Amino acid sequence: MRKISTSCSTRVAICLVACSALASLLPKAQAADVTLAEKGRYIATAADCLACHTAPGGKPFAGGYPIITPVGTIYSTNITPAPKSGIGDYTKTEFFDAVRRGIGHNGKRLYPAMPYTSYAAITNDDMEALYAFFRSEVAPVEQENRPDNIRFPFSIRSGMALWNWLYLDTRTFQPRPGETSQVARGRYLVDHLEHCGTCHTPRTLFMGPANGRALSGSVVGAWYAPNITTDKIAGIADWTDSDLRNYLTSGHAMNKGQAAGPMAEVVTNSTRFLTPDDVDAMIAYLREVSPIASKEKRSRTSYGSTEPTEDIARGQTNPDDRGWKIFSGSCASCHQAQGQGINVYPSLTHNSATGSTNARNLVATILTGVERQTGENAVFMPAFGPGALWVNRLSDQDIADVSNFILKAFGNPSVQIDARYVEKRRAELTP
Amino acid sequence: MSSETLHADVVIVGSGVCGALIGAQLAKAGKSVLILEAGPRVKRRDIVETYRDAPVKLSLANMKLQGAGSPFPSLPHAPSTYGDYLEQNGPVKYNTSYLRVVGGTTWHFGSALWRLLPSEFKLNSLYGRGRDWPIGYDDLEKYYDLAELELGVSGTDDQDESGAGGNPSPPRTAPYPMKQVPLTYMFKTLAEKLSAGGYHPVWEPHGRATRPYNQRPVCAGNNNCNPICPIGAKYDGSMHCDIAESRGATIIPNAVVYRLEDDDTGRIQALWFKRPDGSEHKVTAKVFVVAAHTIETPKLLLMSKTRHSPNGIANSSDMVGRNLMDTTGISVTMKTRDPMWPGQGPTELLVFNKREGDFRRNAAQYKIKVRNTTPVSQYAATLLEQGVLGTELDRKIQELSAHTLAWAVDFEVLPDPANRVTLSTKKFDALGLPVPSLYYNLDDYWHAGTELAMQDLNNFTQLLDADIIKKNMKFENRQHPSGTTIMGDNPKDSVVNRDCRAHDHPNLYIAGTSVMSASTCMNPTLTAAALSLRIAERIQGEV
Amino acid sequence: MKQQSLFATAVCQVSRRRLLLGGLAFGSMGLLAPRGLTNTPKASDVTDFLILSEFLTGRKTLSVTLARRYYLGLQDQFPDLAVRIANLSREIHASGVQTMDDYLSHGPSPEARNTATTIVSAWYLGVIGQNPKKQMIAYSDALMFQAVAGALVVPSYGAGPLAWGNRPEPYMMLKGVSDEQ
Repeated sequence: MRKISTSCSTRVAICLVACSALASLLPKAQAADVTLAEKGRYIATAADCLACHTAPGGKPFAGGYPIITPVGTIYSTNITPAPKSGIGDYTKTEFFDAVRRGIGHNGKRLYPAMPYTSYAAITNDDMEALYAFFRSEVAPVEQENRPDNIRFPFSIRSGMALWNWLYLDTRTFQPRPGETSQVARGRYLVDHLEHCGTCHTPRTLFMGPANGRALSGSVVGAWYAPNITTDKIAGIADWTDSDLRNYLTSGHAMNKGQAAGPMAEVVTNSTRFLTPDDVDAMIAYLREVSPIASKEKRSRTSYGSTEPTEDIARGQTNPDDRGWKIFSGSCASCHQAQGQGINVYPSLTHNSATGSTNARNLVATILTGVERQTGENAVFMPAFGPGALWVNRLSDQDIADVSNFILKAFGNPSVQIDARYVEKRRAELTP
Repeated sequence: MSSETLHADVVIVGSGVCGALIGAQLAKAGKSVLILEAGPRVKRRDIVETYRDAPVKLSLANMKLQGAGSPFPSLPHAPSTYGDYLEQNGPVKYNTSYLRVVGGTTWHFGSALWRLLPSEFKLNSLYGRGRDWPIGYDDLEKYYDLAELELGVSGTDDQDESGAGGNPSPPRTAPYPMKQVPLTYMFKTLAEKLSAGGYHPVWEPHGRATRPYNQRPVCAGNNNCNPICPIGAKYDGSMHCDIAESRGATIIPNAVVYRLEDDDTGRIQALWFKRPDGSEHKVTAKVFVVAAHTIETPKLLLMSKTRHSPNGIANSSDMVGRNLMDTTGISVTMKTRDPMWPGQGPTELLVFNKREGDFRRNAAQYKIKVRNTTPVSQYAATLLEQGVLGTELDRKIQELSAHTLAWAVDFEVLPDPANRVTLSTKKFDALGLPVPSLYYNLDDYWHAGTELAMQDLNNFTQLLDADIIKKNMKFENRQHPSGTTIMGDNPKDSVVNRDCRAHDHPNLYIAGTSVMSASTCMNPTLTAAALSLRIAERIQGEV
Repeated sequence: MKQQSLFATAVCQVSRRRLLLGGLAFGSMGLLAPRGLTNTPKASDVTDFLILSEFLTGRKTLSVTLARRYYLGLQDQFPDLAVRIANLSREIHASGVQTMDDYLSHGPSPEARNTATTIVSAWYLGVIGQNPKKQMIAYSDALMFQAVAGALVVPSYGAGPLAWGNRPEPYMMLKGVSDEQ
């Protein structure tokens, strides 16, 4: 039981204790350009180094965070300036090579779980600042790195050279002709520092980014990073600027979606600390991204409530819909009897997680719950999976039933799942 | 008979907050722990749905409905106390309600988690009444700290919890683990108006999370603390059952312990439990802990009549089952001129305490609390019974809901050996075990307390521009039982010693409010939890 | 599903009647006659019950699903329900009033008042009948909670983390609710 309960993984839930301890490390939402190291702190925040390089409950940047990939589990490394187990003895060149080329100490190739293909374009000035930050502002922690658990043939690191030849573009960032400075800044943030494509761009057979389908949505462990292109149906064309701003700064866009799992960590550790100008720049760039359609017929946020099951089933000793019964007992106290939500509790209608063409985010959210830090407030939904309190815990069948009810009543009714589907998502959440 | 004998370092009878806390601490320390629970293991969603589906909804605000409507299961082998399970013999009904499920009665407690004041350990030496505890506040302080962390208590730092408006008391070494909930409109208004009359509002410390706490979400004002917090923001004992289990403890639900056995050295050798099918099973252990609630614990000890203990286990003093106490109370309903709107946020928070002072020589100390349970369904039903229809119905529902205040007072009850739990000779449960038989009465000390409280409540009507529209002086049980295995230094007049160890048996501990030497007027759970953590520490040094 | 199509028909009829008859709409009530004991009322019975319920409760958008369930439940407990409803409807119709409040001041007969109270009790409390035959139909949809919505939550459906503190203001603004200083 404990083993499972500590497995909140695929960048799922850094426990809140850790988050609050880390908050002091992070900048206020203003890029105070005071010193080089302070600038570096902002770069590190925008690049969200912390989320992956800190184990749940662990010391900041000391590594050990499990990143579950289709080829096995990779553990992030210690990037504190500790001389033995960290990067204390890295020269500036070595540091630059690690971040931008995926080349570690002694030429050892890093796996692209470290998003160096995105970071490759980080400007030299920003790299100088980042280096200064990690040298002077991060507390050294001696903590040995944990060996990865990667399946053959991906376990042969030298193969990465070929991979890099295929996928690594080593040019640093340059504004494009005709691009406004705001869009250019947004592109720098979205494509490089925030490395959004690492999750939102589908991967090729060789796990490289499918660049023709940039930001069009991809599976991330048990989760699904949706299409964030400008496509009118598949993308986020129906999100207003204010929706996107709310989402990036708080993780909550009313009647659109909420950040959970890996995206909750992005908001908690990174995007909520961006300056308003940078958030606007990201939005401006996202409006320029090429639309990429997928198979869906309706926007994932367009689904409203269909049947008033509460009216039909309340008081019945054996309601036909077992899923409703679980929904009512486990979900409705917060999401309300008709799934409409209230105040900070999101509605289940007009919700990316329930209107998607797959049930991954719905199921993963039920399994792991939500933990997200927003300003002074911690957003918290309890887990109902293996890490939940016994009295709240749901079985695979329970989760399949309640998901199917939610999809039918509030979301995309053409998506229906079975217990086996939930079992697979459970497995994907376990390193 | 049993197929095999179970064995553990420590076996605990009862999975409520006390048993679960001890189980969790000892399991964390690497001991093998077995927890036996008479009732079933329940899921939160099932209780929530049973509550919503019930045509009669039980809440503490609706005392007349006590006896029906609990959403918790009543099973033949573990009958609900909301039915007619308890046999009443005395002039005052002791209709307490406890839950026989994994996690215990905290599932439906209001979650007030008070510390006692130093003076409340010394009632006899200070005021010549009742008994002193054999231990003092200082002995318990660090366990109070730990208990507040374990249970996740939200509270207001730096207030005088005695109600006298003086310096912060009781003394604390650590602040409350979580900040207090925001005040509702009613609480703010009442505090302001009554402060003007010299009353000192005290904000109750309680077990509702105000930040995510050990998998508990933040209190959302579901206003359903009793009978069930639908989201698990409020602490209950099942949470420590989880911790115990995750550290290797075993919990067996539906295991009704009916007998403890001792040997000629006084050591407890074994206990026996029955399954719902009537099968009998034996458990041996190095240390035994009985944490089965103030009514069931003495019942078990009294049922365990052995060759060496003919009056029952731990009962050489004949004190087992005696000194039954409560914080038995009265209630007053007021109609206010201005709208107050009880029912926002959690069901309780504001109290006015009279815990200290020379009046205690002659009268019981007390706590006046305002109920914050939304009264809508109660009033709607009453109005419809009266035939109110049309717009008037909505208008009256609004008006009664906004303008009616339900005050309740809890009083200290002195330990009286005549007030007691015995075994029924007439009534038995499905397993053939006698039901508890209760004798209870209240003395002049209690009545003198009610007179003082009524003076305050009459003052309140002036300060609030309100009228008393209903009064119930008839001994409302407050579900705060204590005293039936009373603690003391003298084995002749007490059941357990200062460590909560039975005087008669070196390897038997009793956990729960049953060991309390004085009831006080306060909710007893935190004190029982602190004592339990102290018991766990003692046992850890022994096995 | 058969049930669904029944609802659809009823909804359809309700809107048609509302359209035709405006606020007061029980033209067909007098036609209701006692029928044999059956558990499947005609769609028109449910529709008539819904329209009558909307008049009695002063609400404009009651749930057709709940109307059907209340109707069935009441029929179960009161075998003469159809007659009582017919009598009540006839009396309201004959009085010529437009609202429930007017009807009440007009002075309903004791029998009509009794029937009205039975129906209104069901909708307000979400529960049909008396102990020990009480039957639960609706909880969060019980109309009593609408009277205080905005100020108080339906117990067990919270308004969100620590979401309280302002002076409660119910959505339903009613003349005469005393709030004088």
